[in-house]
Amino acid sequence: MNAWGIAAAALLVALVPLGVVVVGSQIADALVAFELAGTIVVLVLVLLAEAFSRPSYFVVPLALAPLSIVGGLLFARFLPSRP
Amino acid sequence: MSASVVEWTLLAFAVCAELGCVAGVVAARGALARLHYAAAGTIAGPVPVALAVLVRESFTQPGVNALVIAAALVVLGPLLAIETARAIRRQGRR
Repeated sequence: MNAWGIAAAALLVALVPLGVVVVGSQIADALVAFELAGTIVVLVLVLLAEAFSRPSYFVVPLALAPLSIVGGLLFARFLPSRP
Repeated sequence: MSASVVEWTLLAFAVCAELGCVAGVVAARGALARLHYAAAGTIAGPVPVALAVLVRESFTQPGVNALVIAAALVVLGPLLAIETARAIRRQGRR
């Protein structure tokens, strides 16, 4: 495993505590953790594409980066006004 | 300094920054306090990763793709943080 794979594995491990926050916290806290998880998943996909030396794999994070942001915006827009 | 050392350094910085943001989101109390760390994660991680890809690939297709991804996250991330903060304030939470 090269440096890119090690970095991807480390960031994948970081998703676990974020999942705990998403599952166990109130909805606003879960939304914040979800947004950071989206960013980390984009980075993991970039790192894996580089680790496997497959330029075509960059299409996935290229599509996911704006879509995860837009998804977070929609979740924030329709967040209930009461906790 | 060889290119691989620069790659390793940038990747280590990106991973440490993202792990710090995750630790902040987990440890902070209150959604707005957590949001500070989540918003930082949209800039502190993608930029060094894109630079590391650029160091390795130069301005080929992977390098340009990584730049576009980082630019999307850096530009749209603060917008998402602002909208999320507004939603949290609508809830009357801190």
